[in-house]
Amino acid sequence: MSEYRTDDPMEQAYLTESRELLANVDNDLLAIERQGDGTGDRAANRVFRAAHSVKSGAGFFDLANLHHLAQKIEGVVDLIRSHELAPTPEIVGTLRLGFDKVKDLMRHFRDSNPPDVSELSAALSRLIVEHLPAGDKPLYAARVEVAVPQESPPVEASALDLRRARHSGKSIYLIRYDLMRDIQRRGINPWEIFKRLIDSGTILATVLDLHSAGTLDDPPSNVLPLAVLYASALEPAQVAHLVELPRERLLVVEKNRPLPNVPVA
Amino acid sequence: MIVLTREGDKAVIRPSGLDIVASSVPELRTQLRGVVEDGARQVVVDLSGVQMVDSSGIGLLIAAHNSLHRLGGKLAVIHASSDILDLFHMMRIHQHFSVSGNDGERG
Repeated sequence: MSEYRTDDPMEQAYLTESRELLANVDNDLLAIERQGDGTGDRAANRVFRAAHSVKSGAGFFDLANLHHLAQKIEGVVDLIRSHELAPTPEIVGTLRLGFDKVKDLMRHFRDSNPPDVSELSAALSRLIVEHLPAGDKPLYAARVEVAVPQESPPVEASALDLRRARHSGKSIYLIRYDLMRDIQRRGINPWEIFKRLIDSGTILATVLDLHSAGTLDDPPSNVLPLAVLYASALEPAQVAHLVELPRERLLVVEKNRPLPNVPVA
Repeated sequence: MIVLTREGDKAVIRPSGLDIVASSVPELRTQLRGVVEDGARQVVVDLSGVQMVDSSGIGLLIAAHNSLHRLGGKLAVIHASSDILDLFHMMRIHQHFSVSGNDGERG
């Protein structure tokens, strides 16, 4: 089937980058299956990054199916790279099917009738739940509200993602864009900024606040807030620099400290 | 000049030769509010001949979307120039209501 074509330059960039990342996944899955040759961990990290990037981008572009499936794959690969799940041929086979479906979804992109991912998604979920450490099991699939200072309502995020971010010593930030001011007046490309965030931490939630523009009965409003809940080992000033925003537009929700010997990727 | 066409619950508004900027937004807002109050639920804003939409114009279109969404209706923007289409893409608002370009390309 031919690849999806789009007129949106940001979607084009996302699809091209995702296809490049996915092109190496088959070889890396093979290396993971043969863990014995010592290349498994590096390969697992690469496969994790591929799933993480596809997932985060799908969140940005509001592609629910793709986000959902990539998130499950990311969860399984995370267990493999932390040695909580042994990559048996059966498990790697399920991941291969998962990535094939991801590529399929990317070909269908904004189809109103996308391919069904429910069965595969359920199989990946079962793998995750069976192998999560006991303390993490109750958090799987749970959503929690993160109380955000000076901001209402609270932002909702995955309980497991939050726990993992805290456990690896990442601080939690709320980045507040105003798409009107920052994009129209300053010419910032939000996808470029989003990619930088993906490369340096974990995007926990993205909330575009369309309601702040009010209705036709309300006084006119010139703001379009986009809030990004973000976990990173970077310091506040580094995050502000990364997103090209003044420091006051970055809220430190939780200051955590990187722990020794814990990878922060 | 703002050209208004009504048919059933559909209304097409064409701000012909006007940019959707701070100076023209109040009049357009009045027109949009009028057609929605008058029962229009499928509102199309035709941007043929519109060169520029500034932040107050984008705020107005989102407000129209919010009003219609509450009432179970829909806003669509058609015939946007490629510059305006790019701007809508950058702001991700085309994920919330339909935006199409001059040659019918979907946003």
